[in-house]
Amino acid sequence: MWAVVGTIPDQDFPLVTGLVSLKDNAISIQGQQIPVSRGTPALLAAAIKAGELQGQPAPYGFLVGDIGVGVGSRRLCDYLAKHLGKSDFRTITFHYLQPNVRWHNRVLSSVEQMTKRPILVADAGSMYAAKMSGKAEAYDLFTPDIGELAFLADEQAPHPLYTRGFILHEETRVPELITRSYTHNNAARHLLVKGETDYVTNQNGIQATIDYPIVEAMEAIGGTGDTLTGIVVALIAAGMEISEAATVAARANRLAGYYAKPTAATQVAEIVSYIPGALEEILAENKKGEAKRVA
Amino acid sequence: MSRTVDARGFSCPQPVLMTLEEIKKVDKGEIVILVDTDTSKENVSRAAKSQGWDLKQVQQEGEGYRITISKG
Amino acid sequence: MAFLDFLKHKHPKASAEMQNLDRGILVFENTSEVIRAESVLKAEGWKIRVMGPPPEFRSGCDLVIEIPLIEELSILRTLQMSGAIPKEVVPVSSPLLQPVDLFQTKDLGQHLMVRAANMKVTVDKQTLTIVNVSGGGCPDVPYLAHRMVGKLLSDAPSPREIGHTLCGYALQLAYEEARRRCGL
Repeated sequence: MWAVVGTIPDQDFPLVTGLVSLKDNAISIQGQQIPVSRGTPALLAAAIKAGELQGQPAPYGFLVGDIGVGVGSRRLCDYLAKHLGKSDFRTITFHYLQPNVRWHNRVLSSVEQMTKRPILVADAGSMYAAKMSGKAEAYDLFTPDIGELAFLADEQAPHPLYTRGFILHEETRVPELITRSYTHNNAARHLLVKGETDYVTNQNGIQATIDYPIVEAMEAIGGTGDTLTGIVVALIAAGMEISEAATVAARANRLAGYYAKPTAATQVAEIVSYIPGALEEILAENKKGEAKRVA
Repeated sequence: MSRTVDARGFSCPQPVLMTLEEIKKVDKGEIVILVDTDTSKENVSRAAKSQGWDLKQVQQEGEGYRITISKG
Repeated sequence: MAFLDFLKHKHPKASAEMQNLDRGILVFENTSEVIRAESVLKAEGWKIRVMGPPPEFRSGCDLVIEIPLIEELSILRTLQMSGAIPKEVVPVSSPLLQPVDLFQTKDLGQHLMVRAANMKVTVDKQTLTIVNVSGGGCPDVPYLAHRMVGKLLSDAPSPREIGHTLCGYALQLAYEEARRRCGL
């Protein structure tokens, strides 16, 4: 079983846990319907679509409403601290949550009580909290954008607000920032860095870079980073090795965007619908062992 | 009755921002802020004073501090 | 005194250089101090700009405040009283110390995408509807996107009113610039 932890941008959305399904551009959990929009809903939608292709059962969701103030996040972290230790998830992905060191450490302690240690993935606020807590190495995969990578790389910064490069992305510094993150033990075992070029890396260095196809309109579309994380999580849950999963996911996410023929007004839900076809194509290519360049 | 801001686990400057948010909501009264680092203790105390609030008490509590500020 | 120094050191590129000598940047430890300082200074009527730091200058966070250098002392006094104190004041005395514009605009045919730092807001040029909000991983970004996308630029809530983070602040800048470009 695989789990996703995150928030819904609605302060009245209750704390719900259960299997998540996708129908008609909405995710569904315990009778609650949530439109597929940027954030954890987009991650879940992409993960479900990618998972279905791999014959994966539905993911288990731990979701709560939080508009960025942290009230919902605190409740969810309290819940996880009490219950995760008794669960048997193979993969747990922590997504949008208010970054708080205390809450993070309590949840991680609970994870450490699990009989079998799961694969841990973190993105967004959960990733900030992992770094702030000094526990980045406990994670198997982070999926930062370039600004977030700058925060991981800045061993002095207690918070992204202090980081040079957090909002002013420095694309040319990515390899240096990756190295620095590992040097100061502020990176997960693997990193998938999302940018104009995507980088797949681990402690041994950069394993792959993916920079095609480039679709100009994708830059305007909110949620395409979330779908990338969703695809990689589904592949890992299906048993794929993490570096390979990250490389396949980066290529499939871009290809889905390409096939969607988006305009700047396209919503992420539409990109999600192209994920199965794109992923199938990339997996088939991988099987043949050929690199195919999309014109 | 005092209001409480639990800023434990948040990195500076979050505790200051949370304190200032709470101060904006009330003209006077008492606010208790819980922090868990020396830096946050200093910054919250200074921020409160800069807004015209008095530092009523700073107590060590567990591994952190309970800061009580008041006005009016 | 900066003004008198200028009078002493005239040279052929004086008029171009004078603009640079006129300006300085306030460097802060973190961006929330910049945001607070900006509010305080603008409330006092100072004509200042929030910008990105010069790439060659590595101290401080991602935002600086550009000030008229001749007003440095008065500005610092104002900030001292508010508690938002810069760690450094740096004269823009060379091209290497030019602060950078936070904004970038892309014409995508039917749509206009305005970027401020890491946040992008995209507007339909004909209807002036916000069609997309992208960038950033701060906790309030999905909520900001949810509240703004699909709304007219003139009616959408401003990120500053409903946001809580640095990404929210950057989105506010993008939103204001989009409004300005669309004549609002």
